[in-house]
Amino acid sequence: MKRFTNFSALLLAFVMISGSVFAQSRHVSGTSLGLGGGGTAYLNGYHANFVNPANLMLQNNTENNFTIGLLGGISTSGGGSLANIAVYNEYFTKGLSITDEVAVEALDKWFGNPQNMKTAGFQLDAIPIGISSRGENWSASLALRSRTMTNIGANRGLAELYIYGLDGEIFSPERPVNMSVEGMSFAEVSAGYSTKIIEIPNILGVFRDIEIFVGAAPKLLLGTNYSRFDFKSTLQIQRSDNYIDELRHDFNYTLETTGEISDQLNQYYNDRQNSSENPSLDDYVDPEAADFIGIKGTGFGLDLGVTAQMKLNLPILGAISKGEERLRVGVSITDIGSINFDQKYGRFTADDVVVWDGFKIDQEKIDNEYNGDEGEYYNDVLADSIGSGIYGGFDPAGDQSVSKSLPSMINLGAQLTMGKLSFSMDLGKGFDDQGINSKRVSLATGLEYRLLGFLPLRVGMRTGGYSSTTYTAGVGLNFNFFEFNVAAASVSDSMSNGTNVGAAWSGLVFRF
Amino acid sequence: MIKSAMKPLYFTFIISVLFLAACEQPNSPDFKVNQKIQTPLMSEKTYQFLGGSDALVDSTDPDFEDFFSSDDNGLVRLTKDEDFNFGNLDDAIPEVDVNSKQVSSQVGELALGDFSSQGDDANLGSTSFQDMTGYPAPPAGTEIPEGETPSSDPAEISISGTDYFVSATIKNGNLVLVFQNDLGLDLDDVTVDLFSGSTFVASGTSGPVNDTNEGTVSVAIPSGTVLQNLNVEVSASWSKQDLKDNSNTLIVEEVGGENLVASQVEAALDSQDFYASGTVDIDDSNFQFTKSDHYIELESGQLTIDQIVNQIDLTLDTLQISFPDIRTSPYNPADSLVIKFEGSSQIQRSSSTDPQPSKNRSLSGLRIFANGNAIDYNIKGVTEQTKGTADEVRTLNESDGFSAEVGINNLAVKEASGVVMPREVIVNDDVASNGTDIVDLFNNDEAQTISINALSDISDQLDGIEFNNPELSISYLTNIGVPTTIYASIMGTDASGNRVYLKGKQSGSYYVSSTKASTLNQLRTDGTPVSSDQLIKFEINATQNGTPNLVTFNKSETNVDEFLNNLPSDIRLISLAAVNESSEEGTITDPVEFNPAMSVDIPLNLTASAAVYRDTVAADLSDLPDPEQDDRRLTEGTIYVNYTNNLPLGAKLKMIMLDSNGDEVTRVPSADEDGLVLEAASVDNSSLFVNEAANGNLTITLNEDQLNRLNRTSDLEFEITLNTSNESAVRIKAEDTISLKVSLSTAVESTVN
Repeated sequence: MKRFTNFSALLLAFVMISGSVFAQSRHVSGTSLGLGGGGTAYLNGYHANFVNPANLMLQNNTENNFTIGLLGGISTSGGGSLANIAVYNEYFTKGLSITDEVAVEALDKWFGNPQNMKTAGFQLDAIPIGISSRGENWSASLALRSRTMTNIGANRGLAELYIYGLDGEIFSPERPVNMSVEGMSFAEVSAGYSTKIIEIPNILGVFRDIEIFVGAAPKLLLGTNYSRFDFKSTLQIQRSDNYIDELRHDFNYTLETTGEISDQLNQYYNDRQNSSENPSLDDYVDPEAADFIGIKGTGFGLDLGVTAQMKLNLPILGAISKGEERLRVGVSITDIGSINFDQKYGRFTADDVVVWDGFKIDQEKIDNEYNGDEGEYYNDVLADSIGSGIYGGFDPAGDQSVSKSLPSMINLGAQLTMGKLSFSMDLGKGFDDQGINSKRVSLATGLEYRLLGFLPLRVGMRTGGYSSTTYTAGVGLNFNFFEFNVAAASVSDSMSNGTNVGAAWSGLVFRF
Repeated sequence: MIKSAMKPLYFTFIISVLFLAACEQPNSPDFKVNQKIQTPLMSEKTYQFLGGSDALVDSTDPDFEDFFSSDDNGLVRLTKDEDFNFGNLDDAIPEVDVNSKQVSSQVGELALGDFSSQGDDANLGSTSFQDMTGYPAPPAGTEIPEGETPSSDPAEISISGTDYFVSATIKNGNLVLVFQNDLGLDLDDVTVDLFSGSTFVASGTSGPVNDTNEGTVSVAIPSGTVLQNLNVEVSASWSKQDLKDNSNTLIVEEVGGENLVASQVEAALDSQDFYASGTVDIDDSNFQFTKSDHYIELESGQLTIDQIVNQIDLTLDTLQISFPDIRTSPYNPADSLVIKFEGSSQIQRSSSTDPQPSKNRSLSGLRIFANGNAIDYNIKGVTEQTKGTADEVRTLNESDGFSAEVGINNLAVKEASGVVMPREVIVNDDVASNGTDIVDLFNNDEAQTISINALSDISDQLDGIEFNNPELSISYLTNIGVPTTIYASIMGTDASGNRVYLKGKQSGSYYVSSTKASTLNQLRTDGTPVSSDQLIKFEINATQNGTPNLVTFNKSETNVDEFLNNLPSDIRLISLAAVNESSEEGTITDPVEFNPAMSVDIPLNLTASAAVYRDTVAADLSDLPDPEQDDRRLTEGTIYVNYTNNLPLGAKLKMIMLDSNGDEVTRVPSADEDGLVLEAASVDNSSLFVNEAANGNLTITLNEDQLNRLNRTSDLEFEITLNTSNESAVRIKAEDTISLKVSLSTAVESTVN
């Protein structure tokens, strides 16, 4: 029983430790995060490769045409419905006893239906170097980006296991206890190209100097690590009024790994097949540094976009802020493509039932195999038979590779600039719910004021998508030859869809 | 201008402030959870009454080897055989002693034969015609008138040439003279007067003796006559006749004895025989030969004949001593033991300076048939013949004799058939430290000690069981052929040191009376002579064909129920064998084997009163919170026990939590509370076996103090106190079981802040 609860606690701890959640899969920079995480219509330079390659043609203010970024951008974000700070603060920070109705209320707010899988994600992007050059009619760029994406998921049953323990009243009916962890890291070598395809001088006197750009940024994908653990189970405690008959844990899981760990798991499996005893998994799994840096997979990706830029002549806008009025509208599809992990890839599955009706005292076995030492037998039965023998009883699926799609999105954005003030808005929708991608439409809005022309102050908000409404803010130094921006994001109320936190640093960006 | 330009700045500033204010910050955790752990703790564990190491009674324990059996209807029986190591009852073999015997024989009357070595035609003396007739011999053909030798002048013949004879003192018999008649006359009668020197001895006549014929005259020698220097006077009578042509002489050709015996002689002697017989007595204090077929067969022993004294001046060519009552196999009369001195071992003449021989004969394997406890012997001696030897003339007296010492020594009896006289034999080793012929029950060197660990182990596991019909048997193998009674002091000591003596009830055959007990001074308990209530007796008889005889003590005649219900782990025994108390005939063979074994037979027809069984199982509860070190604490704890009782015994259950050192952490119910009751299975009134199991659930709620200690638990000990309903008798089958399942419900309050 001890091992069983330990295992449960381990899973729960894993989830809680990994509880930070990352932002939308859309690439952000120190500029775009401050504006709510958009950028489809305004994020230019080499960052445009990952948001909307058509933006390579855009020039913000009077910045120089050639851009080079050294440590050209680091961003991180995390969040999701599993990271619900509001519920946490309401129930877990006020000295409440999480029992009975309080526990039900908290779990209802956090997880809702027991079948619901709450997720959270984390993403870390870094651009070690990026360059771009803007011309009159076409622009090009080259950027290297590393990406690490992790997402975890847990359902209500797992939280109940933590809060209630092995409570027969909770688990008398069968309850699902599920969790998942998925992580992928890879590098992108992206080459972008954009060109002006249309130029219209005037439409209706309101829209002038209309330009339409298209761009594409194909990229070589170099996968360094992929792992996934998807654990699904049901837990049931069969009991009567005055006896607890059995614990029944019906589970299945899939474990996918790359690198040496795959070999180690295969070795464990082979040894277990060839041995009458259950070897300990701990004796086999020993992650190595090469698992996280070596190339395990390759692929190709593509980012595409169209951006329209025009000047406006609307007097009402002049009342808000003096200066040139400009509107940009962009559409992009990002992260088209996939990575095929085929180096030391392993996929393992298990499907079994643990029925625990108490410690079975096999005296003959204790006498014959354990020299009468019940303690040794006790440990072996729980650690080996249940731990390694049942939970560790996976089978290799035999797959040699796995193809993982990039978190593709479609983005629609616009930016309205009125002198030193600009307002932006982005709609985004993921094609799937993979990772931090969400099919739920997200809306990001941002407001920037360029104090003294070089000191941008930015605020933004994002709502929808995988988390609750997120507020962002940023500041920077933007000169024609140099740019430095930082931004942060957080939510004010994560009750509905969880929290989201993020930060971005532009790095050192020079323009010539 | 500036004012206008500041508007967006203000707006942006306000938005930024709102952003910062609105950001959601996770606060420090501060909450409590009350986690339940509701889980089966121990899967169903079935305790079979009799079985392996997890049974109530582990029949596979080496101490229980061959201890348990079950009869045809499944009733368990506890059986155990333990051997005593007495070795044998050799002291029961009678000791047989024979005193040395001086045997002797005299040579007796001495027979005289031929007096001369010259043979039949010798001339030991003669007389002429003239001496016989008184006138010279006429020519042949001359008629000789009837006549006789003149009585006044008989013819004298001096006997010479009797080299075999010097002198003799005659006891009786005749001296015979043979003469040749060459007188030329046929003689009608010849009279011989015998003289020893000048002393007339006696006369004899021959009857008619014709010319050229031999005549014989036998002279009866009066007793006491000393014969020496023999001479005779011969006279004859004849009828008218013509003188024949002859040498006209009468010649004495032979002189010798006819049944002539002497008490003393100086002569050259023929071989002399002499005989003697007698008996050698055997001590009858230990063994009596009352019939001719009674015997002792000897394992070892010696017969010696020495200290030989020969007063006869003759070498004994042969001396034979025979013992018709001492026989070699196949022990028929013809197989008598005969000892001979002859050849190189012949007995020397008295005048010899050579040492006399002696004889030493092993008696191993021989039997002595000594009816009346007397061994007969016969002596036959044959002396040498001196005639013709260089030293042929010897002087002998009839009283000259021979003597020797006959010893029958160091007899070890292998088998005795007869009447073994009553004797008491200590069966145990008898060490000298506390006196000989004394054995003490508390002397480890003397008392036989056996450990019936099985009973001890049962007492460890099932303290409180009372057996209703136990039996204790002593089986034994013995070859003793005489009635023997064993008087034994048998003491059982349980693990707590309580002692119970096995004793017979007064009405039974195993009872030892106080009067008898007072005579058994050899048996002691811690220095004190055993008393009647510390003794039991039983008779042993020879076993046949290797099948042990059995003496069974049951509770009708002994206190064996009290003795075994004490569950002795250690049994001590001293005993005395009273051999043939009624002096009956029998056969006893060395070694007298007596190999007893104690056999316990206890049908589990029992009454249990607080019989306690304990079993410890691993139950590591160290994951439970330690209130002294953790922010967690146990707030609730309930132990559920589900049982199925197929034993005809009710039970009270206590669970004792033990730490890793085996020390008690806590117990439930507490020490001053009764255990939880497990109902007994129902029992068939006639068979006393179980006919329906009892099922139930028990709930044990732990108090706060117990909860606080629970995390130190490493093992869980079940203490099951068994009771029969109303302490009435029930019967148990080996496969009767009691099953327990344990589950646990705890609540752990954890504070996170």
